[in-house]
Amino acid sequence: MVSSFCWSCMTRLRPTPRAVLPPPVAAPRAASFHTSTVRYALPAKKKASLDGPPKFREAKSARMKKKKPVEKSRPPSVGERKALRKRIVLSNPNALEVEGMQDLSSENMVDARLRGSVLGLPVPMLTQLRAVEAFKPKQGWSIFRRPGTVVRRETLELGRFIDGISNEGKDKGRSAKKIVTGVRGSGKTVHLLQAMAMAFTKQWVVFTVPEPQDLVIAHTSYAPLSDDTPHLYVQNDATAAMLSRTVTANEQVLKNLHISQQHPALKSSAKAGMTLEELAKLGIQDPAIAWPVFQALWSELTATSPAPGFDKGFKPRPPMLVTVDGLSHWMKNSEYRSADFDPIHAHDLMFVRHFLSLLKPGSEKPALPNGGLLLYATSASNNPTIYSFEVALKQIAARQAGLNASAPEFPQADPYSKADKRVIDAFDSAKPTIAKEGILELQTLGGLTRDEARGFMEYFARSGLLREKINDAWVGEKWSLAGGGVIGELEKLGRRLRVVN
Amino acid sequence: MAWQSPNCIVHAMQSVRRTVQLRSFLHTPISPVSLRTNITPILSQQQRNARGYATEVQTAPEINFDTFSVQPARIIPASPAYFSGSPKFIDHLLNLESVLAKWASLPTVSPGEAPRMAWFKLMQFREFVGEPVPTKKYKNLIKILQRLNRIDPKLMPFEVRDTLKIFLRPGNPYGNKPVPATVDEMGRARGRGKRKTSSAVVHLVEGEGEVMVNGKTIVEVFPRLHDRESVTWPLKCTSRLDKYNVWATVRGGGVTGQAEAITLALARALLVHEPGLQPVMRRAGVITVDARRVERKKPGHVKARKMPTWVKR
Amino acid sequence: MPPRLNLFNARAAVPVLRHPSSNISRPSIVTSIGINRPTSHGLHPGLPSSTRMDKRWNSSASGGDGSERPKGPTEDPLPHVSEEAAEIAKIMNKKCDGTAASPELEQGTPVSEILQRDKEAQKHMPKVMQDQIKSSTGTRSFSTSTRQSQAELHDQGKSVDEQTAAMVANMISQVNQQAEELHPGLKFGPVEPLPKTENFRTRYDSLLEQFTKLLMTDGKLSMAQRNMAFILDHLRTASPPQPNPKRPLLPGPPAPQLPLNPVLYLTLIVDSVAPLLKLRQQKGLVGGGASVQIPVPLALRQRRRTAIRWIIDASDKRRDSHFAQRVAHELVAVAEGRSGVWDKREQQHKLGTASRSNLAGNRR
Repeated sequence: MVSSFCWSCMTRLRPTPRAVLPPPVAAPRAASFHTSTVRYALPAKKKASLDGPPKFREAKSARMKKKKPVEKSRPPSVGERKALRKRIVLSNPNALEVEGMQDLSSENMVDARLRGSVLGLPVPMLTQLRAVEAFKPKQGWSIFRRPGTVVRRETLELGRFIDGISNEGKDKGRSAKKIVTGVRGSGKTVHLLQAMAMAFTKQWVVFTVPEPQDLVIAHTSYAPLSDDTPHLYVQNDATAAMLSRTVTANEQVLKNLHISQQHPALKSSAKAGMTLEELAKLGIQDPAIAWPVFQALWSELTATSPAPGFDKGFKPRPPMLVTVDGLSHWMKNSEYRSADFDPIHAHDLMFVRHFLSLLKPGSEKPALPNGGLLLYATSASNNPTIYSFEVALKQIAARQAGLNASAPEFPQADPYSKADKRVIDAFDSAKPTIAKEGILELQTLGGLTRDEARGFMEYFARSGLLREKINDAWVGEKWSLAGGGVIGELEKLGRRLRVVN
Repeated sequence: MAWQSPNCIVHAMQSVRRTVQLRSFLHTPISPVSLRTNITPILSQQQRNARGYATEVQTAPEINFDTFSVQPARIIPASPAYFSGSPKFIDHLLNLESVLAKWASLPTVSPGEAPRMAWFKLMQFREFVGEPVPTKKYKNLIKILQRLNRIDPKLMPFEVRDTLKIFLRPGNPYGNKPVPATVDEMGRARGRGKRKTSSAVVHLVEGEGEVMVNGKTIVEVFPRLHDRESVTWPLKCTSRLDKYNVWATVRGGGVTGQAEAITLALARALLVHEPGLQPVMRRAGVITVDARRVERKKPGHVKARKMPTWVKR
Repeated sequence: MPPRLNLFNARAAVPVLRHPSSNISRPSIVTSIGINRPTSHGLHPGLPSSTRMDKRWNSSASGGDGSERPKGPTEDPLPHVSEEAAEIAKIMNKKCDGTAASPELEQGTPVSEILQRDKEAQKHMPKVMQDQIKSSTGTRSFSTSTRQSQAELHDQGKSVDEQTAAMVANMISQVNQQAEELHPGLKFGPVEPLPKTENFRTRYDSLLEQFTKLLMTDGKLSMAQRNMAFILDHLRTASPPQPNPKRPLLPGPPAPQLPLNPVLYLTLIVDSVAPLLKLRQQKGLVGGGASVQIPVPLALRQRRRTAIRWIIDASDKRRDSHFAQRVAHELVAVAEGRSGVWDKREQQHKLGTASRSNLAGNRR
């Protein structure tokens, strides 16, 4: 009879910790030499009894059991969370109507007496502004009765500029190019919004790119532009979306304008006598031709005179406002890949390339021949750090200050850092040769002044949201807390409650 | 009970010795030595007489009852507290109580205005009296001392003053005060503060409400509103936010720690400019030092106090 | 270079000593300021309150706009008397046709001007003034901008004008002292006594703080505060509650006004569903090891805690994706009497009423 013990094995096995041992197998292995497999098995658990050995540092109470997660019937439906995140509420019926609040109009947008007060956005214009996605979530529109914006110094300058271009005078047909920067919450996007609102009151055509990031994160379709230029890509769906934004927002203006040129790229679909609205809608209906349609629309809007044969019913084109909000996403490689699986630089996307090319001064005619404004804003919250873009912005500021590019103090990229030359070149615009075209400028938005901040806080109080006595000391305190009147921070302070009891 | 420890015997001996001294000092009792000196001349006279006139009988000298007293059968302790465990302490206590009873009617000042006195710490006092003094009893003694100290300094009797002097620590711990900080020639006041593991230095100048932290604006450094409020609280509660400019340098720790370290530093710097704000800021809780720090992890523990779960093997 | 004449001290302190040939260009605004107080600078004993501050330092660079900053006596940008008079005359000419507009014109010409015209008198004039005329050439080595510092003045004031500067400084210190005596240890006037809410540690409403801390998980306070802000914003923007007459909120402002004061709204909601008592399991009251429930009254904070706990627990069953949104919806449901928290409260009270009898055993 074989002994149930193998002594040598036992002595060898004993010091080994149990955890290292192979897990006990239910059935004895076939090739097992020993019959002692059973011994490896964990000893049978003793019955848990209260009389057993005392347990230390173990929760004895049944109450300390973790709460089981509540069973959810089903997860939220697709897109529900995003819709919630992107929802824009422009009105709070609980808030009080502010008495005597003026609406933005062509008269009061140049009125310096209104500085520091809040101007409401006209209600009919809200659909247009929504169409161009001028509002962003988390901007605090939802706690007021109706949307309104503060008139600050920059707003008045903007108003005067837009007014000057629209009216008959020496400024007619001028164009300006600005890159708006500033710290987080300094009101860059709202500045763009104000520009759009003013442009709509002046019957301009407004093109916007509210989310430049969406174009480079490979979320929309892309295709090579043509066989001749395989390294350039068009994004038809994104273009169609932009056309639809533009058409909805500028319907009134586009309806009254007619085609004035031949558009060979569109072949037969563009007929003479078509309105520009109909032209744009071609691209919306068929995204495959969205890009040529956009180009056709652009050339129509930048036309200064009709082509021969299209003289009938030509109207002068209105000035244009082009805004891009969050420029730095366009300054790096996109998430798209070429056929060779190389990353595509954002500047190789036709859409991006078109809007960046507007920054360069035109050779024969200005980038915006009928006058207008390019407002490209950076973002401080959703902002990839791109060294070459920072250098480019510094260069713009230096050029604006009158520094020559060959001057020694002109900011240059560090030769040891891999600066992206395409980015620096994109902003390297020489002084325009055409008189009506402005130089590329850098506009830095800072904080509000104390008076403007006071007007803003009074607006909160008059809406019934703030229960404090608003005096200069109080406003000064908030002004300091907001880092020198940064308007986004002021808004947070205004909606914050402090109950003094 | 008092004899249980050898220490007590020593105490008893000490008190005996002291009693003897006291008695000789107070009553000048008739000691054996002095008795002898009184007696010897008489005896020597007798011896002389005996030599000269051997047959002459003389009467004994009159007994002077004034100088005679009964020799006590045993030594009596001077103080009844001798039979307690800590006689010296109780003597002190009784003495203080009697002094207090005597001068209780004198007008007092509020505790804040009374001069600050450095009484013996408990350990020092035990050494001083050489007896084991219970903590609680010593606290009661301190209470009496403080009550006596509250007597209006102008009317303080010499007796009380001398009595209190016994219980003062040697040296003058509260005497050498730090030089009060002043605004420097550039108009800056400097304050330092700590909280958690952060330490901050604030330079405060008069200005118009700009706050810079580590060379950046306050919004950049503290994105959370709560922290920004914390930082400016000393100026806010005194409504001086638009009257000073703050330049803060803060190192170490996290966001909350940094913010509240600046609060403390700022409050201290503001005190340099305006010492009169102290009560307000005390009430606002900004010059109260929060000395809590993270408890260290100990060997054998998982965290500072958590122990690993007990397993049988 | 030896210290030159300190024009700043001299000009402001003693107007008579001013040199007319100084060529400081003056903005016209300054003149208009001067008109308001033609004689009251310099030696006037009762310095205006603004000059009291001048000894202090100001770090802000508001050099561009001089009117914002309180002016020191030595940097008062008043022009010279005669220039001023000329300016005033120019302004006043339109109105009163050349009549003397200010006391200076009536009182005659300053000594310094006379001396300059009269060469004979110059020889006999005080040494102080002689020095001044000698040393005042047209150019100066220092900036013409106004000085901010008293200290700097002391450093430079090694010339004859030192005395005058010292006198001015003396007066300032006097005024400062007076202010000190009025409010010892204060620079900007007294502070009104602080309400309790202004304490650094208890800056929020007590219920708000309790609610926030109960929303907190894993010690993440700032996250909890963000959730709390969302909840309050929701209460502010959601339509006012339609109260259920069976389950009314505590008396307060009428329902349509509640959203404008969300903290009060929240307090009313929580306090309305807060139970008055809790049930404690007590062993050994009746013997035999059986436990009985006895009702125990709760303090305010405990009541609120229980209510908040119930609300948060009830919100877990909701289907909104965000935690804060779930809680916010639950709160509105409580306000409208739709929430299960009300049932919980009623149940608790019913049990408490029933177990009142167990209290007798406790009273031995």
